[in-house]
Formats: sequence, C-alpha cells, structure tokens
Amino acid sequence: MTQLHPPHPTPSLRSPWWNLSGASALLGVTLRRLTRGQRFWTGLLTALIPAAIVAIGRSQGQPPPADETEIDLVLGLMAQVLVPITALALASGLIQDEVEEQTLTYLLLRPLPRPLIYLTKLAAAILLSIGLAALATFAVELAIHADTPDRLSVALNRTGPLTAAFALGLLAYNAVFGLLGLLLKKPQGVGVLYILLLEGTFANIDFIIRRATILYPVRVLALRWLHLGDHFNINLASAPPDAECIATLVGVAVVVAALGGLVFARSEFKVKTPETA
Amino acid sequence: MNDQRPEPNAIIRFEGASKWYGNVIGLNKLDLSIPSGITGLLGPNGAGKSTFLQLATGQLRPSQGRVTVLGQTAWNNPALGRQIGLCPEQDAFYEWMTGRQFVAFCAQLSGMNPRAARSAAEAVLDRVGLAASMNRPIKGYSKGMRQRTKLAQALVHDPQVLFLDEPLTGTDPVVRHELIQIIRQAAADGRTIVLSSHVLYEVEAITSHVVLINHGRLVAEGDTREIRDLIDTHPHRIVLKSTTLRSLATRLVAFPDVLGIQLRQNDGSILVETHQPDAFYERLPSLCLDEGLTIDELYSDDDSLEAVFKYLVAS
Repeated sequence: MTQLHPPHPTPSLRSPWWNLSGASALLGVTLRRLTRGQRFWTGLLTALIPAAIVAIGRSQGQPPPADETEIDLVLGLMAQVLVPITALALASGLIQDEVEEQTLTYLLLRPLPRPLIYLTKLAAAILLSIGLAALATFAVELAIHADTPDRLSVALNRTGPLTAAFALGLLAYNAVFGLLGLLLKKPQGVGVLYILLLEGTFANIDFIIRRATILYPVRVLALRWLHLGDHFNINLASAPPDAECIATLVGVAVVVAALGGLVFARSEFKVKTPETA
Repeated sequence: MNDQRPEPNAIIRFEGASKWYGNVIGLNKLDLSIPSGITGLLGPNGAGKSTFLQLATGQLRPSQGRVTVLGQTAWNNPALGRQIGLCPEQDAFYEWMTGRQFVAFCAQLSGMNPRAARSAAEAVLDRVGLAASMNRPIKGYSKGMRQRTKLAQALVHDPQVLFLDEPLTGTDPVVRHELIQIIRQAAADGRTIVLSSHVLYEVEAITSHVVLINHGRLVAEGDTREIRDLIDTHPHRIVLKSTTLRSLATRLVAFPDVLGIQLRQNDGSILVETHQPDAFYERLPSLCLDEGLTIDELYSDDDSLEAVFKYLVAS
C-alpha cells in the first residue's frame, strides 16, 4: 500500500501568526464567497441605484446642477444609506455564514490564530465594500457629468477623493458590523436601526453627539476634498481638521476590529451535527 | 480496564474534563488517556462523541478540567493545528470549489505555499481515490466522494493525530471497504487515530481498542475482548426458536438461573436472560428429551459488540 505522506510536508512555522500563506488563501476564498450568490448581485445592483437615478432624471430632461446632485445622491443617499448598508451586508455575516454552512470547522482546525482568521475575513469584507463603493461612485459621477466633454477624467478625479473618504468610513463600518455579527444572532436588524437612528439622525444634527458617528467625519472629509462648501449642517471652518477625522475613523476601525478579534478568539462555535441538529 | 491511572504514553488526555451547554451536560468529568494507534470512540447518538471530538480538537473550551493533545492544551491552540487533522461528521463544504481547490485551500491554511499545497492536494486525493474527479465541483460529488474529500483534507498536511467523526456514514460497502483500508494505512504510517462511530461493527472492522461513552460519561474503555468479559457481570441474552413456544417458556422460567423471559410473537422466539449461560445450555438437551419439546434454533444475542455496548450502556 502506498504511503499517505504528501510529498510536501507542512513547513515548520515560527509562529502561527506568520502563516501568511494561510491568511492569503483565506482572504481569497472569503472574497470569492462574498462575490458569489444573490446577496452580492443585490448589493451590486443597489450600488448602481444613484447612477440609475441620475440617468432617469437626465432622460426626463433638465438635469439638476452637478453639485446639487452630488450632495444629495453621493453624500446623502450613498454616504448615509448605501455605504453602511453594504458594510452591514458583508461584515455582519462573515462568521455567522461559516457557522450556518458548517464550514468554520475547516478554518478553526488549522494553524491560524483565531484573531488572524477574523481579521483576514474582515479585510476581505472591507476590500470588497471599498470596491463596490468605488464602482458606485464612479458610475454616479460619470452619470452626473455625462454632458461634460472630459467627463471620464472629471468622474475619475471626483471618484478618487470620494472613494478615499468612503474607504475610511467603510473601515469603521465593517469593523462595527463585524463585531455586531459576533455578538448578536440577528445583527442585521440592529445594524439597520444603528444606521437609521444613530448615524442617520445624529450625524445630521449640529451637536457634539454627531462626533460619535462614522458618517460625520466621512462627510467632513468629502466636503473638503471636493470643495463643496458647507452642507448637512456642517460648518467646515469649525469642523475637526482632516487629520483628526482620519485618525477618528482609523482609530475606531482598529479598536473595534481588535475587539472583534478578541471576541472571536474567545468564542465557542458548537458545530451542528446530525445528532445535535 | 477503565482505571484512572495516568497513561505515560497518552497522546490525548482528558483530565476531569466536563462540558456544559447551559443546563445540558455534553461531557461529564471525563478522565481518559488515549494511546497511539487506532481508538474507536463509541456511543449512541447524543452520547457526547461530537463534544469529545470538538474538545480534543480545540474547538470547544472545557467548562471544567483539562484536555491535552500531544502534551499541549487543545483549546484555542493554533500551533496544534499543524499536528492534528479532523474529518468532521457534518457534510459541509465550499460547494462551488472543486475537490482539488478545496483540499489545496486546506493545505494552504496549514501553512504550505500555493505550489506545495496543490501538489500535496493532488497526492492525497489520488491516495483516497479521487484523482479522476478532483477537478469537478464538490456540489456534484456523491456521498462516498464527499467522505473521501473530507478524509483528504484531514490528511493533506500530514498530521500526527487524526480525528475521524463518523467517517463511514452513508457509504456503500465498496466505499466503506476502501475507506477502512485508507484509515488502516494512515495508522500504519504512525498516526494516532480516534474514530468516532455509533455503528459498532464499523469500529470492530478497524480496531479492537474502544472507548464507550454515553450521556457524557465514560462507560468503558479497553480492548473489545476485555469489554466482552464484562458481560459476565451482566445477564446473557439467549434466543430460542420453537414450535412449542409457550410450553418451552413455562419450563424455562422455572430454571433458577433464568432472570427473565420475553416471548417474541413476531418471529416465534423466546429471549432468555440468564446469569449462568453455561448451566443453561447444559440443561437444554435433557429438557427437550424429557419434556418432548423442540428447539428449532438457538443462538446468543451477545455475539456482536453491539450487544456488549447495549449491556454497558444500559448498566
């Protein structure tokens, strides 16, 4: 009988934290998982709603001014609803989906520290959500500036700063919703309430509590970087400087993601077997 | 048998390990040392086998006590992942992957670079008989192919300790035979294997060293022959088939060593429980001759490990 030993035995790693091959494989598979199925296509189509709204308005004649459209659709609809909803859809099910589909076992049994598993999967959600945000932003900017002769370069020039602001927001949103997914059995409902009540309400009120939202620093950065002036009750002159906004968003993302890693490391996931199901 | 002395060469060790799920006991103060070689983990559904394996593979944290594998704490110990492999019971995969992609992914998770992972995956899939199908999506695999794929991912990183949770479930006799050969070879290569099953003859076909658990407790541990010896402390069950069923039962119930008699009308047999099977067998010929009774068929209901298991669990 032939030997079962594979020709390439597992290399002896200094520490499982240096299992970069495992982490990169997990990143790739998580991205493939997230881009499969109905949920992804729903998310992709939803991301194109702002561009579709502009296109429909344009087909009706008399398109509104570009700045006004940009404020309403990009910093209103997208920033306040679509961006956080995308993060919620992707991040809240990162671990729960693996538990439901009973595939988490294959990850937990490998020489990968649990926080690394969680953070790698979170990174996949962040990358994909940023990609979707960039696509949606480019599509809507292209639609807004469709009449401009150099529309492509204009759209690209405005997509860059907006995507950067959204990316910072998505870091924090994904970290928050990833943690919710670890703590709650049904994180989607709580996530929607968080988006509508906390973010949607407080970020629009000119009061100190708006600084506790993710949306506020995202809008401050986007308004400044696109030179759009004061909107959403935000006085850019008195708003926090860019560095503070960036530090806030990155800080929230790092702290909450680390907390998520810690929670995941200490959590037990009892696998449903035919006898326990 | 089932003594509590620490086994110096134990590969897997449970020291007063308990696991509770709220008020439900999954495993109760288990003291057990599993040596190298193949050990069968036996118990009915819900006995605690899966909890045992999830504790041993570090997926669950013991509520009390300690679980070690190869001298290392099992719970949340990623370094141990290099040395253990698990063929899980649940029939779950990334269905959209091909068998080769899935096993290579598992190899990469174990730390191999992509090229080495692909090579290792192909080798182990060839060994488990999936070479011809490894480029097909798993969602199209038969039950036997899925079991082989699970076994392949458990072996791909060449672990020292292999946990197999009901690996033969749902397979046809041919596949079962092939899987048993693969498991035996894995043990012959020097691996320690814990094989969980509720089908006793499957385990008997692979190993004679078994651990029996029920209701989260250790019922018995040792060689199947040692376990069979335990029967002597429990009633033997003997089945007799006769055309004179009621007359025979009336005579048998008068025997001093007969503890109970059960008439089985559906197959025309009597199930006798006795503490002294030898004495019982000795009396039967004279009983038939003297009373003119006939016995068409006579056999012990204790011939399989299944019967041993029933006795021990019932006790």
